[in-house]
Amino acid sequence: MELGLVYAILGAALSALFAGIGSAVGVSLAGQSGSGVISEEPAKFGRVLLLQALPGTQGIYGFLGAFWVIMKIGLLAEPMAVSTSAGLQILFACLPVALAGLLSGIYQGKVSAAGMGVVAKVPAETGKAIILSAMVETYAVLGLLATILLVNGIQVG
Amino acid sequence: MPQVPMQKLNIIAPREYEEDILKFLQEKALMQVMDLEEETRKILAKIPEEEKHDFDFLLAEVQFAIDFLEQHKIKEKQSFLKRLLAPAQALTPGQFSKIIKTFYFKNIVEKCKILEEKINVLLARKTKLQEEHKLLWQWRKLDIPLDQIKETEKINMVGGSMPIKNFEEFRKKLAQVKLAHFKKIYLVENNVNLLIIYDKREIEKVKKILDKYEWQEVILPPRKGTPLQELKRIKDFLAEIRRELKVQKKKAQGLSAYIPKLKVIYDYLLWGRAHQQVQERIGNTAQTFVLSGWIKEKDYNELKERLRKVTKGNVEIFKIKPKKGETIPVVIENRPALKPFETVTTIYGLPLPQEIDPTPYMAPFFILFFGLCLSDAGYGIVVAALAWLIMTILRVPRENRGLFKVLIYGGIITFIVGALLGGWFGVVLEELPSGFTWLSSTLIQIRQLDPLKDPIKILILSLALGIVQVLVGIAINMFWKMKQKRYLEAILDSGLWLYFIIAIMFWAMAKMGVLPSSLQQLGLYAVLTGAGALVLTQGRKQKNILLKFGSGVMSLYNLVGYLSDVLSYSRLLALGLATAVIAMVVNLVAFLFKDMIPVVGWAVMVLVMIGGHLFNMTISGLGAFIHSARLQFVEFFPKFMEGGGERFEPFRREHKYITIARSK
Repeated sequence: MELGLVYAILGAALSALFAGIGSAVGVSLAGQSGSGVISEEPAKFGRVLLLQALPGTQGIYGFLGAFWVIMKIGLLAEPMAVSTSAGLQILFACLPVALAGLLSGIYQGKVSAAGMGVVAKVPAETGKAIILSAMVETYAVLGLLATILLVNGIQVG
Repeated sequence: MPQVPMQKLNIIAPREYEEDILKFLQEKALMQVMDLEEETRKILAKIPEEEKHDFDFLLAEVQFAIDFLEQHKIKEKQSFLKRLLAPAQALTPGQFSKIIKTFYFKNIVEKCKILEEKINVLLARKTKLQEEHKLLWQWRKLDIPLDQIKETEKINMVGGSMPIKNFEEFRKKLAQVKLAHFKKIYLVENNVNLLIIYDKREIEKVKKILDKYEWQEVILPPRKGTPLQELKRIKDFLAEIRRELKVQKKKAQGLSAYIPKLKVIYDYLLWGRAHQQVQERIGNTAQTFVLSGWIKEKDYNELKERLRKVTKGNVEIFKIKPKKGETIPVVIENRPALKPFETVTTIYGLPLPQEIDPTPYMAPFFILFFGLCLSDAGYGIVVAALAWLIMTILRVPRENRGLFKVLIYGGIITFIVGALLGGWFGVVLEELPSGFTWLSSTLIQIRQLDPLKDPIKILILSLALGIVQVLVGIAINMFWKMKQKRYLEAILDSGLWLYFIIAIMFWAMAKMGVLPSSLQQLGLYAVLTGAGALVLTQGRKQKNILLKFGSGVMSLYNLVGYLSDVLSYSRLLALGLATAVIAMVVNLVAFLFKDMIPVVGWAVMVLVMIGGHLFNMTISGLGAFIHSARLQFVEFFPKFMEGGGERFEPFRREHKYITIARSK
């Protein structure tokens, strides 16, 4: 087996792994502040959950990046012969979604956690807190986009 | 005109009609009552204040009673569907006023308070006894009555525990002390319970040993008998408390029949509070009262006529001009088809009174972007159907339907967009089994673009949509400035930029060969003219000639802003791909299960598919809504509005729990 395949799989694994960690940290940060709101007003669970779920998308983007690579190298059926250079290319192409996902997930979690204050004090304005949190996500979306376009452009085999 | 023009009024009438007028205004919700203006207030007489009710306090009390009784009411065993279909508490005006007149709520609130107090005392006692029980259970082997374990003049007797690993050494050490003994009582987890008896003269030595072996003193409850006797006594007592708790809870259950009436009272008190707040803003003279506030301009005639009727002609209504800098409340009203999108606008906030209502311009973009992000025809149908079902089955009140209607529109557009992009629950159309070729060939024919194979084309489409929306935003700004007769700004700012961006597009397309390359030279001239015009005009507010030129050149930097706005639309591709790929993965995983498990594999596959697609639909739908809204709020709105208008809040009957059928 070529070393290229190993690099490509490393890239896929890193994108799911890093972005997943980002989301896990972010969702947990938001959840911790959220339970403070729920302990006072359980009826706000829906809004709190919505705000908590936002930093969860990075994990999905990371998974998507991984899946895009899996499809590229045909891992689900018969793996293609990936040259070392192509494998390294794929590995680097995975970095945008991996790192942007990791960091934006954590920071989006912080914005979501701060947004719980809005849910507690002016629940009618939850929409605004959601938009503020989604601003951070933009950069994970762009990271995913970069990864997809990069992987798409790589010539394998 | 989506923004409704507002009118400020003063209403003056004899004081005997004050009640009737307020009642009329509150029922019709026509007017937002404001504080009187300074000059009006000067001529008013001081009237002794009427007794005020503390509505906040009363509301809190009734709320307490409702919450308390809800806790204790018998949970009816209704099916979920039946509960869904149960109508909200709707009353006729007759039923309503009967409850108001005959139901003495303070009685019930008092009873609730007493019951709550009793229950709390009982619960506290119960916890305390349970704790004692737990402690004594560990000491049940102790056969000395508890009241004998105490200090006497010469001897000290204490109970406590230490880790079992220290016990052997401790025993040896204590044996060296002459006048000290211990009694081993019981093992609890990793601790051993001991009773230690020593002569007070040995206290120093004993203390030292005890400290060394992690001794923890336990204060046994001050009871008379041996632990075993006391355990039984506690058990009996606990049973009695449980009986008593049951009795009290039964009483609360009985009272819970009053919940509906309490809810009526709660809403009635809400009205009362609003009424009193308005009363505080009213000015009085000896014979008349004056009231000031905002109405929608179009309501003026109706208001005038109805007030004449209420007061038998004894009313005077003055239109007044708002002062400079006075905040005018804002209402936006759109055609029924566009009305639901006001929900999206209000997430951002209302426009200022002098600004344009963005709703009608935003709506088509919003819904199209939603469709591109969700991008699966199957999900589109399901979203629309679910939104419609929830709205009709739950009988969502008219004023809260906006979001559902937006989702219905969004679902339909998603269906169309999804069909064009070939997204059907993530199924790869080419791989459908051969029995379905008739279906797949039709669907493939409908499909115009495959995002998975051709992401670049979708990216270009996304960016093109971004350019269109940015241009529309600038055009709205120009149009609005013209309407306000600020022609110079309209042409030199918005107009020039509009021209400049279009010129750049033209030039770029000619250069890339989309347009005939013979136009390239023309395009370049057009761009240079635009840039020159901007440099010459954008600094016109500066006094210094150098600064004029400088800020003109600096203004070209705005181009970077527009560029980053447009690039932001690339998210449409990313989110659309995300939905499509996850849908595909769901199907893939589901099929893996089918082959992995014999016999029940099929069932598992179906479950995974339903669960997975629901999950993807929710997450992607949420993302589609939020990111589509963000594009409106961050990239589109700032081109022509600032926002931050104050919402029109008419004096009205606020409801929390009930609805009243319209009186005819």
